[in-house]
Amino acid sequence: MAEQTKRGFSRRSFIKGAAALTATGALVGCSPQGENLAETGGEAAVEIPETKIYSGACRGQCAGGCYLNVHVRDGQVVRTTAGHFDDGPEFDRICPKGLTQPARVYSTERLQYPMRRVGKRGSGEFERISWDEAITEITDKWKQYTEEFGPQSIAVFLGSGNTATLSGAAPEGSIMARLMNVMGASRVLPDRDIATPMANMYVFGYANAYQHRMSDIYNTDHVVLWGGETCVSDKQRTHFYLDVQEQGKEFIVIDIAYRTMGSKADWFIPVHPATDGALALGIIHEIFEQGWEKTDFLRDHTEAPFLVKDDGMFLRMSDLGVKPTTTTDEQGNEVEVDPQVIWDESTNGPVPYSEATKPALTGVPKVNGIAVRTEMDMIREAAEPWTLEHTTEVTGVSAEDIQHLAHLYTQEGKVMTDMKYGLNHYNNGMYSSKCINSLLLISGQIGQHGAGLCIGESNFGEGNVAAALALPSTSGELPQGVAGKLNWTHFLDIVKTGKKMGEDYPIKSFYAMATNVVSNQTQQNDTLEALEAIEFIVIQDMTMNDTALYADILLPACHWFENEDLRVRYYSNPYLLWNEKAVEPLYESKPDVEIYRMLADALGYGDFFDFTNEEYLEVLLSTPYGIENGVTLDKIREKNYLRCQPDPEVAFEGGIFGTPTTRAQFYREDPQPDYMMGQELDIEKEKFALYWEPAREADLSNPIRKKFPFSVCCEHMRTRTHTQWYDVDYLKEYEREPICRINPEDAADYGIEEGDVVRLYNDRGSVTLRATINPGQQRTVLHCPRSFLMREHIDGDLARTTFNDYNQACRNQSYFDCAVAIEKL
Amino acid sequence: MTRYGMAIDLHRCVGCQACAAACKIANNNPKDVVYNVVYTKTDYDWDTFGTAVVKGAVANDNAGGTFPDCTLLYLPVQCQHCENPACEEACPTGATSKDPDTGIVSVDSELCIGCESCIKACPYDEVRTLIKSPEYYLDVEVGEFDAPPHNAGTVEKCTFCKNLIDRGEVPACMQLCLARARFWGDLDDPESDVSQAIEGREYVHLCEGAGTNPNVYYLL
Repeated sequence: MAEQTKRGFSRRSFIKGAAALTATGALVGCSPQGENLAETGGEAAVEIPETKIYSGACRGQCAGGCYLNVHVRDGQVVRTTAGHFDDGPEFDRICPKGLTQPARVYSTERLQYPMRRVGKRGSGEFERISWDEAITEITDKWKQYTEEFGPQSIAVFLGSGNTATLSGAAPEGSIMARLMNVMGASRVLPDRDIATPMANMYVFGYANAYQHRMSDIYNTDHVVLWGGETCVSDKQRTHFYLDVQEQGKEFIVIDIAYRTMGSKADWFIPVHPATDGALALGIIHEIFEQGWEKTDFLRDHTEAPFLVKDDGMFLRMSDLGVKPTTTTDEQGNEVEVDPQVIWDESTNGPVPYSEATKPALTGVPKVNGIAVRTEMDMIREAAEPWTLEHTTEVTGVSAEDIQHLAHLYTQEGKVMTDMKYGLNHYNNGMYSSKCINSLLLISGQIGQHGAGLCIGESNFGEGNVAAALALPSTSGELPQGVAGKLNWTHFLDIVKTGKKMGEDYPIKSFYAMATNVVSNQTQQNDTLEALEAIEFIVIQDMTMNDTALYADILLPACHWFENEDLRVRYYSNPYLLWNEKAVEPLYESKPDVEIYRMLADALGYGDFFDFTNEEYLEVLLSTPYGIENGVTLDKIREKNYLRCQPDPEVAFEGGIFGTPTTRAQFYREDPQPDYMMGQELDIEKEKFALYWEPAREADLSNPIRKKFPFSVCCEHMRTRTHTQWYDVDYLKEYEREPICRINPEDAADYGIEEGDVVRLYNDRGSVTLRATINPGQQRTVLHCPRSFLMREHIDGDLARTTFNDYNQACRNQSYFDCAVAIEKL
Repeated sequence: MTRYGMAIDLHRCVGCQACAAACKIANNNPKDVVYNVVYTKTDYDWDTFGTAVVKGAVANDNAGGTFPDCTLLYLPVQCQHCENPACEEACPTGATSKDPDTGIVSVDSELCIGCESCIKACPYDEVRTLIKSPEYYLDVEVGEFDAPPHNAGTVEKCTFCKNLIDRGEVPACMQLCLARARFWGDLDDPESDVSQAIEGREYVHLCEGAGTNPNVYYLL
């Protein structure tokens, strides 16, 4: 019997081939089985093919960017496994997407050769053309548009679907980004994931909450995951939470649905959609009720003692007759210094903020006859309405839970808060995030080991973009810079009207690479209308996604494993990764970087690109961090990875923030919106971190909900990054088709049963998909995965239901802020 | 002697499907051949597994209970490589056998006649597939060079990736788990990862009443 068992396996085989790790020459995988040879009495050896392992990475811009071993046999990618870092196991994970990369390489959806559209836009009818024809046609048109309408009539959208440095677009200094600057084209901004980082910038001075080393989470007593399904959308970080629990510490999840992370929590707190800012205000109110606020932290590390006059401006030393001085800033510009005033309780008088020994937080009298309030007074006033009753009414969170959270944040040791993009995707995202940031300050839960915002680890960033873009041509000419940055929603309007803020701004051509704007931008009908209106569309991608269908010329980019490149920026994976070329580009596809260079040459800009790819990468690596730490290509290639070390390991360590005063800010006297497209603006809302307003459609009390009773959280998928991997059939074994998760009582009200076909609709559009009954949903909240292509829906598209309007001060796609009605078909 | 086994920590498992995808690719499995299913489960009845898209469900990841008092867990199920495999006894040709040197239960595709006796005898539903006419997602062969043959008219199931183990590697489902919920090794070696993982932990076996004495431990 044992003998028979062996026959099915390889025991008799003399494993002659050996897998070689190309970078280091190390042998892995099949080791010669000498003992087996002896055991089987020297039977005829079976020669097996050699397997080589190359260094790769997932570059689709989920937060992971994982390091991959790419297994190649007979010139084909046959398997991908997790790469391992020898300096620790924290980030050597892989997920089903990384594991099914061979199916992306050999996908039938891959673009095989350049094509020209012959049918209607969107019909998918193309004819094969040569690379020469494609490049000539594109650049002839672009030259003509540049002559007639100026280079700004060519709009470039740098997608995030390939985060390689040379070939990709997410790093601002990629070769395409440089070409766009050389051409003087318009840049279209995607406007995603802006609100929460903007709130971090507002309150903490810069968005380097990413600084916090992930492993510092082991120093905390509690982790609060506030609005996030980490195991789906930020996979590398998931294990840290499970580890913390195994240390015996508490893991708390605040979410609108009972999902996987909630199921792991020691304490799950359900909240109504987009009311998290109100919950934070309620907790702050309760903290004040109990007198639990961290007065010392507020006094010494925030601008809470700063004085605001009746006109909304800070009281400054010039108000007290002290003439401003001047100093030179980092850029060498002369700037005025007129410090804000603090009331010093030790001298009972006003002093510049930097000189106070005991800043007053309240009770400040008129100063030089000027009536003032402290920011702390304003904070208390803002929290005043948020009684337990009111907060419960708005958020659905019980009074007991609010009290418990207030106690937890102030009386039970250290708290690490994970607030990433769950709240970002609503129209009020910036306000909610600012309120939660304010809670961290009022409770002093930031800037220490074990306490802070835990959202990913600092990494190399985008590199020395300024230097890369400023490289002169061989004749010493500098890139002219982009003609303008067009916010996505503004771009749609500019296409339609031919005007930007009243001025002529014709858009003749749209070029996009590594992106699928049709599926991934909100309000799809507007996107399609714009694509119909643009004269000449060029799409460069790996597959025939929804946007590719709208191209006039399609340029086939090769797979990530088919050329070498450097993976730089990532949010939850602090390594620089060198990606080797594992296999030859399939069909006629080419590396993106080669396509950029072909376009540049044909446009007559070749002398701006007279450097090798490696020389260009070295320029991008020459950041202050890179220079100080000797980050060079050679160093990265030694192991194919290099860890970026956060220094210090704790974000805002010691309560030193990135603001001009080094204190965290609750108030800005002159806030600016981050975009301008002629919108109406009530700037008062933007001045104070504790301002909060409900979401636009997700809010339960919004009158629109009478007509459209459900809100839809258009969530991420386990098996796709945005729409990438749509062509991998293996993954349909886990997520087969578009679905709509609905609460059982809601389903019963509409007679909906498991698997029924339903239509979600509002005034913008509709989608038809299958319903699935999920008791983890709260009433009137639907969860629908948002990464399916149009053709995968029974009818319509989920992206047709969402809106593309922005918050008045924040250019942000609000994927979760969408109200619909539902009908059973 | 070696007795290979696995422990799966149900608290750590987040249903990421990495083990399922890793298995599928490493073994070059055809469309309808699944050795390893990560079920979504909403109860603590260890005689039933739950639901899975690959087994016909509309969706994974739906909770049970009444919001917000819900239940949701994941149950990865594969061949349990039992001490007393019901399949071995049922097999009329000797194709199914337990290797006394490793404890691995395997099906020899050359001896298997596709009679499905093992499928009927096994208490762990659907860990085996009778291959009818294998169809593949890709035109290229992926996975290990010595992946199982997938012959029509034979039954296949988890092999514990014996091909990989034999050359000093670990089963495909092992090395790649997102949350590190799986532990693998020799149950007879107290120092092995799997023994260490089980040590001091409360665990369950699936279908305990079937008397198969499985070598996959589910840590609670």
